[in-house]
Amino acid sequence: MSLNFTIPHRNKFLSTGNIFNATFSNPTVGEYDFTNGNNKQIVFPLDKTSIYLVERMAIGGNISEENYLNSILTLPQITFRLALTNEIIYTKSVPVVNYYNDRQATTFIHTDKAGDSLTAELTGVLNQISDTVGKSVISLTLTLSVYQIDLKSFNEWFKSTQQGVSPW
Amino acid sequence: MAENIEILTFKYNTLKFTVNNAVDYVNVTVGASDLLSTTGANIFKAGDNFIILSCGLILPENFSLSGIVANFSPFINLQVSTSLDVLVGNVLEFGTSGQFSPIVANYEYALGQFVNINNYLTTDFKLKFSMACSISMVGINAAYNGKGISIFPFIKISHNSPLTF
Repeated sequence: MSLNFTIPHRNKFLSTGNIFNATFSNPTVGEYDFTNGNNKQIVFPLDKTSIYLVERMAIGGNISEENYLNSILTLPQITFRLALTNEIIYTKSVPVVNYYNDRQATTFIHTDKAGDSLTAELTGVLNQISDTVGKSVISLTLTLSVYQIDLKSFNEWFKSTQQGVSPW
Repeated sequence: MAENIEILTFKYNTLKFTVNNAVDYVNVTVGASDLLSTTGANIFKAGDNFIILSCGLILPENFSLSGIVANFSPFINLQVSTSLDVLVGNVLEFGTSGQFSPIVANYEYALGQFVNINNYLTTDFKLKFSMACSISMVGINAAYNGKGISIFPFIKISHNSPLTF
């Protein structure tokens, strides 16, 4: 099942990329802790005259998915927020229960503040297992597929209603 | 990748036997002794899990282990201690409960065993061998009599953090 949205043809496709690193034995010996030093990376800056439709996300890493699953100690999860207001985008954090490609995670994002941006924060801890001996850093890579809509009439409709059937 | 592969062994003269071809074999034993890398470093960083890739025992040419006439089988214990030499115990993943029998010398025994060091201690640590074996004197030329000869057990490991002194 998938959700379908009709958006104006005048839009810009954005593909984002963020890398979250967990360094071995920092701060806890024998573990890879994403919480350390990965707080609030900017995913992309937001223009207050645009509406953004986040459509899909993909996550992968520099170890195999099997090794990733075997080494989970505290489930890694990503929290998306607006930078200036700290408003959480998805109601809850997005757990990284496996690697995924083209996972639908549709949501609209907009801001009223100039200089705002979408941020992502990854928390979680992995154990070192035999197959990750030799890895000084484990990295997870996040990609979002986003449509930026800067058509004024659509944006006025969106901000005034945020509901109902899109006239587009 | 930060993978370090090290071959750890004894210092020269740690394990030595004196040749005597008037007997069938001579016994060699040593208590827990430090294992050093080729640079002489031997202190592991806390939490530095490792994989035991292989182990073995190097004997000079002309000599062999005496498995038949010896009064004990050759064995090597892998032990872990703190960096200040407080012995914690055997590394149980090595061989059977920390003890491995190299039935022939000059052979690399592939092991591939993961060790989560946090199960033993959470401080900086050292690895040590204690071992015993018998060296056959059968057929050894009398010219060797009285000579002291060092033998080297070794262990090859893969780990993350560089060793220190």
